[in-house]
Amino acid sequence: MDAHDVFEILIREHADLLMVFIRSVVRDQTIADDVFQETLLVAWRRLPDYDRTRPFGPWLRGIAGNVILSAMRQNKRLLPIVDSELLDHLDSRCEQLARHRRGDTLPEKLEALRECVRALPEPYRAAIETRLNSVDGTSISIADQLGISLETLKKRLQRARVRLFDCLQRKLATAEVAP
Amino acid sequence: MKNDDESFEEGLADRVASDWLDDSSTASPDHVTPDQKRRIADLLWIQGLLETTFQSPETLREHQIQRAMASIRDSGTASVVPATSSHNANHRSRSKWRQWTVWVTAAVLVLSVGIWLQSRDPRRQAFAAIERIREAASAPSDREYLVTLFPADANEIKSRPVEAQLFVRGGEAFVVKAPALLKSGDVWFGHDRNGAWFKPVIGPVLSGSGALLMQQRFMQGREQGAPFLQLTTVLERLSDAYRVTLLPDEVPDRGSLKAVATCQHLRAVVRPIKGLPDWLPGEIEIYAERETGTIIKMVLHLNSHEPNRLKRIQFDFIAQSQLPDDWYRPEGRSDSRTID
Repeated sequence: MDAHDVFEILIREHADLLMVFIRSVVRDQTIADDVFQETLLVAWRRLPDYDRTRPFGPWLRGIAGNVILSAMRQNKRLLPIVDSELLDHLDSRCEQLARHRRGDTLPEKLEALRECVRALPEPYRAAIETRLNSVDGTSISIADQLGISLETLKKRLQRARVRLFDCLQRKLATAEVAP
Repeated sequence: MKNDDESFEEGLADRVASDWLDDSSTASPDHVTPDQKRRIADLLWIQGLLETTFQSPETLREHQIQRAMASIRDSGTASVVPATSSHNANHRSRSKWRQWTVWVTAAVLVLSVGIWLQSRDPRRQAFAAIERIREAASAPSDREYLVTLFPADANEIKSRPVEAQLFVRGGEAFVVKAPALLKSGDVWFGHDRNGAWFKPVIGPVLSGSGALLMQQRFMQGREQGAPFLQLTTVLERLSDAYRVTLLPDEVPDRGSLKAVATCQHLRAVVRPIKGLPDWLPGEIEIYAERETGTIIKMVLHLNSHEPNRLKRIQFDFIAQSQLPDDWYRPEGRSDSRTID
């Protein structure tokens, strides 16, 4: 097994959370793909600098953060409020999920999120699910599909996310204290 | 219980997150507190989790990882050799780009459009158009194109555009008829599933079982940086190298060629991915028939602005026809004597 193989194993282990980190602040899928690719290339080049006593995930997301900040300087479609402070907080959330004892893989850990989605009031759940399944992803088309106004859709999505965040935090906290 | 200030902070943060996530607005308040910023981050994180959980299939992630690992392994082995590296670019003469490798490269680009022009994201509007183009490119019909090479210094008399005829069938057979470099007359290059061949102005047809043999025999190692050998391999790895956008339908400018109806117009722009060969066109314009997907015009914009190098390669569709089966074989050339 050479260095490439070891690196690939590490990447596979952390790729999902890396993409969560990137997609949180990069809305455009193609830009997110580019950031993901560039992050892995930079990580490979800087692998000799990696401190093996430290967890790999935060190191990888730290590189992704720098790539994102660099991309922000070139692309106005990224949220200008994103800075190293916000990225650090995002990283801590990702790490919180990575350390979470429920499930070994990210999909298993994210079962908690699925449960939270299922527990949403129907109008909120419909808004979230339609948004995720939308072909073109525009709010106007989603609102049309649901037969509600754009403002109503935005309110429902906004409240649904707040509820999902609170629900997920509760589940993560419960799992932490569970025997 | 939260006080009014906390409620206000959450309201502003929620609105900023919502505006960005659901309105694509990048407007940002003049000042946000650290708490507001963390709140925004939490809501963005939830959306990122949702999209990764419900929208992003494992196959896509696997593809992304494989693509990155391929680039990493390539960067270590230097297996991708730029066709025109900056190291020796200034020593190249104009004749270099007129040599057969350029024509072959152009032919392979048209043949393999189905490989490199891909869209893996079904939400892209260009998806349907690309699928039609891919189907048309792989169909076993014969298409003839006029290929024009435009040098970077086109204003100089000695650097006029050079034209050739290109015939393609399906995704693997092509024939190029190009003006000879030194002698009066035409040279022919061809390739099909049986191998490649070359017919000079005078003399027998030379054939080989592969591109490497042809290069060794005919180019005597002078074109080590030519893309022919690497091209098909590289193209397979470039399926995501371009970001394709569907533009409004347009009637392509065909100069003195027969006018055509309105075509679908796609623009493929190379992504800023490190490790890509620098000879890749930075931008590719494609005009395709809406009904059939046949490429009517394709323009490859190359990155070089240096003298003696190519600036643009243009393909113009001439006709679709039924050519004899041996058209793509050396036997199809009259007076052919084959040397294996």
